[in-house]
Amino acid sequence: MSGGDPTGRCAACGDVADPMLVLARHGGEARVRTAEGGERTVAVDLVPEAVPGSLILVHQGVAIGTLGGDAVRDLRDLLAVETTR
Amino acid sequence: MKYVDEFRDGDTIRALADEIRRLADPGRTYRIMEICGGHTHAIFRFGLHQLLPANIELVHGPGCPVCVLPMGRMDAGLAMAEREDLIFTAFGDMMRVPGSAGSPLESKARGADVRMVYSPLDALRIAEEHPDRPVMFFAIGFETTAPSTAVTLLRARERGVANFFVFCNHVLVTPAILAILEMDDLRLDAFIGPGHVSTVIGCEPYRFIAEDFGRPLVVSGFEPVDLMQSIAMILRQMNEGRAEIENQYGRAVPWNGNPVAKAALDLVFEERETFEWRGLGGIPRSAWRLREAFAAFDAERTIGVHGPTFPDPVEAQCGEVLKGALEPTECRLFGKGCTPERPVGALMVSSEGACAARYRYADLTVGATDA
Repeated sequence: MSGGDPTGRCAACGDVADPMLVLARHGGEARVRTAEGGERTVAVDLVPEAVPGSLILVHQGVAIGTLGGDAVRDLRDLLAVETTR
Repeated sequence: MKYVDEFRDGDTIRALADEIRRLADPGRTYRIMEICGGHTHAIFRFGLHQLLPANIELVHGPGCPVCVLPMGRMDAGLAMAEREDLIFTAFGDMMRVPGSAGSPLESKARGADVRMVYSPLDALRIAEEHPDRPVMFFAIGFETTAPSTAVTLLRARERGVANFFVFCNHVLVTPAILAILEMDDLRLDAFIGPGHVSTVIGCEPYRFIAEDFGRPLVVSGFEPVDLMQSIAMILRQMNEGRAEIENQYGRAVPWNGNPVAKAALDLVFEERETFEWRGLGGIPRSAWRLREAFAAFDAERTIGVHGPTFPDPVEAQCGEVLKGALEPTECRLFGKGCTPERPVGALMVSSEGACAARYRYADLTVGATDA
């Protein structure tokens, strides 16, 4: 069961966290771009290091970590947009 | 999608499958438990089990919080939902989970105010929009999900929201692994560790699995290449007589996890002495409850847990499947009395449940792309 997830995932059971690009940050909230190209607002209280341009992992509307490493470069290309620093 | 395509590349997967076949010693068996429901889902979705030699067996673990929640906890939450003025909120994944008197969706059909939310922050927003009504969030999930509940409670306290309550059912991964490792009939050789749980808690908490029980664990990502690489890493460890904690998912999992998230969890939650897991029984210190400082938001302390509770249906053999003693298809109800459309046992409820995943993808042949 998915709660609307197109891949049929259960977000809680599936240990699902989606990568998103931070566009702008205002305190505990950030405007982000998703891998599907949409934009939304998520909570970033738990990732103080995240700034515009950072890639974060979002679970249930809350960022739980930041992404790093080589694999991230491709995602950064995918999500590359003008960011507000 | 570019980000995932390289982790679903057929050539890479086939090369890893060749490597696994080369590493697999035909003179021994490898029983590997993937703890996380997301891994179970990916294994069936991409048919990865069909790429492995017969002497590598993947055992589907208890990493599906919906699956391991006893029916009594569902009953308790739904009893709260029956309160005339209360707004019951939960993730969409919870809406069809059966209690003894039906699911949240069925409660809604009977007139209860049941609302699906994407995030606990949405439930808090509903509470702020309806200050004259209690709003209860049915919190469920492992250490990946608990931080979102913690952030929500910290914001609720900061804003002085007095009508927001959490029914806390958050559970912990490592006590469940310990319970499995201490079973008399344990036949597991190694573990594939959960990815995003580990983003939060890091890799250190798994150390006892290698040091005290001599089993390797590899924290893994969720794409086919991730999982195949993790299996190869486990085989290398076993062939070399090593038992270590390794991290295949370094792009998302720092060795020590997320210290800010861990601090938030520690601020809001404390361990329960014990908690009942469907199919596994009571496991010490395996779940969280709200700390006294957040008692005013605790649905169990304020609204109270009332109503009849019933034991889980005995005809479904979820427990044996969770422990790896039975394959999903070996359950007497699989595909007959118990289907994703009409689940009896918990493992058929969530798409990450071992039985639902097996049922959904049973007829798929090997496929590396599914984007």
